[in-house]
Amino acid sequence: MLFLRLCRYLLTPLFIFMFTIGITGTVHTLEVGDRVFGSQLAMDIGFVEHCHGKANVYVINYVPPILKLYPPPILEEFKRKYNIRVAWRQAAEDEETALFIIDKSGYVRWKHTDETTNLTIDALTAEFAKLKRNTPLPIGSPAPDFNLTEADGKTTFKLSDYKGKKNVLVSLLLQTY
Amino acid sequence: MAQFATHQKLFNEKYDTVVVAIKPEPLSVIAKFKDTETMDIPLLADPGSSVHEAYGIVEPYHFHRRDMYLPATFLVDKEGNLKWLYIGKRNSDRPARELILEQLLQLQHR
Repeated sequence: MLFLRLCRYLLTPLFIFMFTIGITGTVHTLEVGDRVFGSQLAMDIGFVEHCHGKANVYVINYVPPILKLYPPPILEEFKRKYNIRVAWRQAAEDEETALFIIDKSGYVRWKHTDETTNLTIDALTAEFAKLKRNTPLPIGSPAPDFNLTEADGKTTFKLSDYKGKKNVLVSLLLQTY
Repeated sequence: MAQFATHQKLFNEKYDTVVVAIKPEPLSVIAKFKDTETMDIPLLADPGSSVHEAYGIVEPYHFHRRDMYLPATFLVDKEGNLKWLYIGKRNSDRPARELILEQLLQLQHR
């Protein structure tokens, strides 16, 4: 009986406490180099549904009621060019005002938290220009030749050897991680 | 691509196509990788990732704390022209086998 009472009065509050911590969690502020998956910010802007593998995101994380950090506006043309979505998000309780550039893979490329100096559009543009973009070869154009060594280290494979003989299906594999 | 890695003979006879795989890594890594996989297609080492640069697939995908190239598949026809190019949107995004076979059948009936 004593054991049960102990359970009731000592362990129950402990469990409740742990449960609450589990729900609320700790506020984790994102830094450059972090992946956003699982963070509250990613959930709020709907990163997985709308942006993962599709678009880079420019997140304006602000603390109401006064926006201390004035982000320069981005032109629609520029957004289209660099495939950028803009997301405004009200910061969580312990978070600060910040601007983020999150790329398609969910990786924080850039963060700006300096509230004293206003960010110029040129500085922001330069940051966006750092994002590399695919410029796939147009269909129907002559395929660039390559001459590479096979895994055995001896034989080589040259694309132009198969010209006029065979079609070549090439798969570019992922790097080992 | 894994579904085609052991069907080199079929591709060669039925579709008149050679299948190769390229990995943008040094030869030592490639040799180790080849031992773990069952594939009869040639696996090529491309340490300088020249193919990715030449075909314009340069966008990085940040995965396991590294910037990686996205997986891609392309088809070069007998005239040496690029017929089809599929760039994955994510690290796990590969073309469906129906898509590849469709392209191969189009080349066959030309």
